[in-house]
Order: sequence, then C-alpha cells, then structure tokens
Amino acid sequence: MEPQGTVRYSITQREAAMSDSDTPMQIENHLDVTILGELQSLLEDDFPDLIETFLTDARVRVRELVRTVNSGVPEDIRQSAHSFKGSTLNVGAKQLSDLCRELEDLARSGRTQGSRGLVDRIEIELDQVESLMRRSYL
Amino acid sequence: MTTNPAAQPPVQGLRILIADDNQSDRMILQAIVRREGHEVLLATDGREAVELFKQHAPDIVLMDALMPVMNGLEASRAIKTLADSDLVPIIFLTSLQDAESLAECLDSGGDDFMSKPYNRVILKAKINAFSRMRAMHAQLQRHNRQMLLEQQVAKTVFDNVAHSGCLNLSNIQHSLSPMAVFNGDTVLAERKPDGGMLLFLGDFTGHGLPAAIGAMPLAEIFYGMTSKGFSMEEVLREVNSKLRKILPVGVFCCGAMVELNFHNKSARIWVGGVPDVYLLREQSGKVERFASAHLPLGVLDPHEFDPHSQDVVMHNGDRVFLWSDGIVESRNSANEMFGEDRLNQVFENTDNPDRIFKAILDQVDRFMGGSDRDDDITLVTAKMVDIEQIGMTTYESNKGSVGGPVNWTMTLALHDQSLAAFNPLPLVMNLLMEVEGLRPLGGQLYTLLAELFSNALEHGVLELDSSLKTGPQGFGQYYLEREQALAALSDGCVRLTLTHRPLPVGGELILEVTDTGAGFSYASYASEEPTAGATSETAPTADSAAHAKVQWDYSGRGISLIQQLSDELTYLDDGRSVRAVVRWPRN
Repeated sequence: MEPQGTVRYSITQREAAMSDSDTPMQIENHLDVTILGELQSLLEDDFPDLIETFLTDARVRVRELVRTVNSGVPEDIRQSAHSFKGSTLNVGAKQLSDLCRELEDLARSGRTQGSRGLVDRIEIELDQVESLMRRSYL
Repeated sequence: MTTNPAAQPPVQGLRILIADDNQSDRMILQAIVRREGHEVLLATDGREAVELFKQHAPDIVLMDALMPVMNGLEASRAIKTLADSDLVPIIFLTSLQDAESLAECLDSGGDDFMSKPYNRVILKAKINAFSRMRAMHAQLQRHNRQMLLEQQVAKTVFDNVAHSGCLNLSNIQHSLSPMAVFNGDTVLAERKPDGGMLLFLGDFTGHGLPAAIGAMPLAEIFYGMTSKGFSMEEVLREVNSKLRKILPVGVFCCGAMVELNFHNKSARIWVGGVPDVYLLREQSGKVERFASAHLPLGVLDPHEFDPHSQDVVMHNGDRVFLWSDGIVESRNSANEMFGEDRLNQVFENTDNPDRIFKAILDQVDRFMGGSDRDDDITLVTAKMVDIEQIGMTTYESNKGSVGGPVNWTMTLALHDQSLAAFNPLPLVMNLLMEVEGLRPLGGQLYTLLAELFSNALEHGVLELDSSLKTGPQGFGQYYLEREQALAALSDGCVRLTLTHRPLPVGGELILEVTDTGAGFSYASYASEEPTAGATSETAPTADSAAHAKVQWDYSGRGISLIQQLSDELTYLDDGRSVRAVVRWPRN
C-alpha cells in the first residue's frame, strides 16, 4: 500500500495531467511509438499481455522506489531506479525512463535530496503512460 | 576462417537461457529469441539460471546483470566454472552506463553486452556471431584433443625408442619433464660394453612434434652404437649426419656428450651449442667449465663435422653437469633471467656436492616463484665412481640364434688407411655375439678385445709412449698425439685372428692380435704380474687411485686387466703378438 500523504499529493498531480487532451503529439512525448510498433509485430497476440504485465510490474516497482526513498539509502534507491529504468526502456516509455535515470544519477551521487519529488513525478508519469497505453494499445 | 559471415546460413535451433528478474523484459526477449527459431529456457534470478544451466546445458546465456538472490555477475562466474573448457557465451543484458560496471560484467566472465531497449536485429546478429564462435571453438577443441592424442602416441613410440637407458644408475641424477620431448629436450645415457658410459643432453630447436621427431633417430643411434662399443666420436658423427640428412634447414640439436671411463678415471667432453658443461672437483670444490666449441648437431655436412672432444682426468667423486639453456634463461615474474651468476652461487653455497643437483632445481623453482614455472628445466649430472658401485655392463643382444656358429676362424687385417678410418670392434663383437655361449661374456670380451687392439695399434704400430697418459694434461696430450700419428701413418698393420671351437663342455675362443711394431719386453712385466693378478682374481675390487694405478701400469698396457679377463695369455714374437684364450662357461 502507498503511504497516505503520497497518494493524496499524486492525485492532485494526476488530475492536472489528465486535464490535457490526448493528441498524437502528446503520445510521442511519453512513448516511443516505433519501439511499441516493433513489439506489437513481434509479439502479435501476446502483445496486450506484455502491456498488462509491464503495467502490473511497474506498480510494484514504483512501490519499491517509494520504499527505498523513504528509507533514505542512496544505494538502494539507485538499484531500484536502475532496474525500473531497464524495463521502461524496453517498452519505449521514454519519459518514464528519463525520470528513472535522473533519480538513479541523483542516488549515485550519494544524495537523497530531491528524490521524493522525482518519485512523485515518476508516479504521475506512470499514470500517464498507463492511460496512454490503455487507450492506444489495448 | 575466411568465410564471409554474410554468406553463413541463419543459425537456428540453439538452446538459449534467458535470466532476467523482470517479467516484461523476459517476455520481450523470449519472443525475439523464439522468432529466430531457438529454444528458450527462462530463469528469474541468478540461482535459477545456474540450476537451469546445470540441467539443460544451454548454448548461449542472456543474463541480466542486476537480479535478486544471486546477481548476474555471480551467476556468470558460476556458469563459466561449470562450462569448464566449453565455450558458453554470456551476453549481459544491461542498462548500465558507466564504463566500470560494464568492465565488471566482462571481468566476471561475460562475453558481450546488450543494452536496453532490446533491438531485435542486434540481438539476432549477436546470437549468430556467438554461434559461429562456438562452432569454431568446438572445432578447435576437437583439433586440440586430436593433437593431444597424437602427442600421446608419439610419446609412447618415443619412450619405446628412447627408454631410460642407464639413467637410473646410482651415480646419475637427472631432471626431465615427462613431456620434455615436446620441448625438444632429451637426456640419454647408456653403458658401453667395456663398462664405460656415454651421457647425452640435447635441446632441439623449436617445440612440439617437429622438435620431438629428431629425438627418435638420435636416441636410436645413441643407444645402438654405444652399446655395440662404438666410440663417442663415431656416435657423434653418425648422429650429426643422420640429423643433417633428415631435419629441415633451421632445425638442429644443441647438445653435449660426455664419455666416462670408470677404469682409467677419465672423461671426454664434447659441447655443441648448449651452455658450458661443468666439472665439479670434489676435493677442491672448484668448478672447471667446458665451453661449447662446436656447432650443434645436424648443422654441418658430415665432412665438415668435428667430433673432437676435450679429455680430462677425473677422480672419484668428481661430477659433470650438463644442462640446456632452460636453467639460466628461466625468468621470474619481473622477467629477469636466472643467469649464470645465480647458478654459480648455488655451487659456491652448497657444501655437499651430492645436494647440488637438488639445490639447482630448488633455486630455479624459488626464483621463478613457483607460479609460472614451466617444465623446461633439463639437467643431468653424473659422478665418477668405481665400476663396482654401478656394476659391469650386461651386454644385451637381440640375436635369436640358439647355439650359433661354434667352430670357425676369422682373420681381419687392418692396414694403415683402415686403421685411421675404421673401428673393427663393433663388427667383431657382432660376430662373437652370434655364439650363444659367449653372449653372457659380452662386456668382458669387448674390454679384452678393446685392450688388445688398442695396445697393438697405439703402442705397437703408432709407438706412442703411454707415460703421456699420466698427469692432468695426460689424456688430452695422448689422444692428440694418437690422432696425429694415425693421420701420418703410411704403413703398418694390425691383424686380428679369432677362432672359436667347441669343447666337451662349452667352448673356447682364441684371440690373436699381431702388430707390425717394434714389440716390447713383456717378460719384465710378466714377472711382476702374479702380484697384481693375485690381488684381483675376478672383478677389480681395490679402491680408486691405487687400483687404477695397478691396472694401468706396465706402460699403460693394462696387462693385469687383460689377464683377469682371459684364461690364458701368451706374448709371442717379442711382444708383437698376443694370444688370449677365453673358455666358457666361465667358472
């Protein structure tokens, strides 16, 4: 379960994000449509399954990120950010992987200041990715 | 391989292990790999990957670097250990960026990276590339196995040819790696029929089979000729011509040969291309060095080859050391050479001469730090002893005839030119060994013949003064004069007449040796004879110097020795002719 405070905060952000309209232009800000297109033709019927698996797994990863940020150990933060970055890269969630890299770099430098803000932005971006994926690929 | 990779057919049907803790990543990889027609094994952490590897022996592993339970680096080390000499390519799946982490992946046994997001075209190309590498590796291993097998066969053949000669005698120590023949190193030792010994250390240029191949005819010639009684010069000459004839240009054999004579306590030393042979004097602890004075064996044409040796008097306990350049040239971790100075220090610092052999090996070992020691150290040392300590030679004959010729006479007359160019002893011995009853007496008969013949030639025909033999320069000077006299010889003859006839029990051999020299007054020696003859009825027993003196007195004619070896000994015609009778069975 997500900590109460984070949830409340992120809902506000999520509402803000949702207020924009979904244009193709906006999809390409968040997703690499070439990668997704390749995956679609590679996996064929299994493609929706991949997207569902990614999204389910991503929620787990984000919870793990929140936990490590709360515990405040930079090395733990770096590892979980790195790991999440890998899977987001693979499905072309480019904005999400950029944010993960930012958090990873921050943690590698040994700092935790600003990590909470980044995790919040990662959560918001994941919501965005989920809604875009559901709308365009499922 | 010069095959164009583009022309290769697409690789299919490999078994590929995918280890990734992220499910969506696994799905994508699995889809890519299956599309290329490969079988997929899935692991979610490092430990599972290692387990699956044990069970299914996949061809290629795609491994996530960061995983729970056992990370990819650890798993990859475990898999590389399990795979042993098989090539199992491990491709790390990573979004690692920094050079250090990437390097760590390779250090742990990884062969390549694949960065996220996965690219189907690149992954396919990598799998194909590694598959080709695997095929090449497998072929290489097959060739290697084949080569080892062939080496084993070659070594068995070599061991049959080279056997161990008399290297196991108590006065010899040697170090030679079991596979040294493939380093081109050889150590051989064989007794002469008169009880003497030839020692040879050889170092062929090159490595592997080409280096080993020359050792076989060398050993064959060495053993065959030495045991038949050919002289060291003749053995060297034959080895050189044989190697010159069969080895390709640029392949030759550096070597040193030493002949030890345990009767008259002397050595002849020939060194061609190997480091100095050392002669350690037990009394003084001093080392005398004999530098290479000749080109290696197999370089010069027969007529250019020089088999002349340096002759030196030895005392009991004196030792010769022969080695290849492996010792002075062995290197430590700082790439320094062991060098001659360190070798000399071993001699200076070791009080007990019996320990020097081991001390050299230990010091070289320590110098090289044990870790990187190669087995290239070839060393042999032999000590001058009384012949009783190592026993007489057992004259081995492969002749199968039973009984053999029992009543016959042979006369062989050698005139001036033949005396200089031909050694009749092996020929005569060959005939004598046809007689079954004489075979057990081979060593003794050889010594008898050799003494009678060399007395007739050297003191009779050549009129050499045997007093030259005494003193430190003695033998050298003596042999030099012998050679000059032989070269200048314009007339003269030595006639050998051998008669064998059966007796009611056994048989008897009558040897008559006649020369055209001035003769000598044997009577005065004969009168002293009973003393020497009585003290040593059978084999020589008294120790070293005193004994050698008794034996080699009488102007060096070795009469007491000859008397011991024969049942009857008669001098005729003022000493120009001698008749020795040997009856068998002896006692």
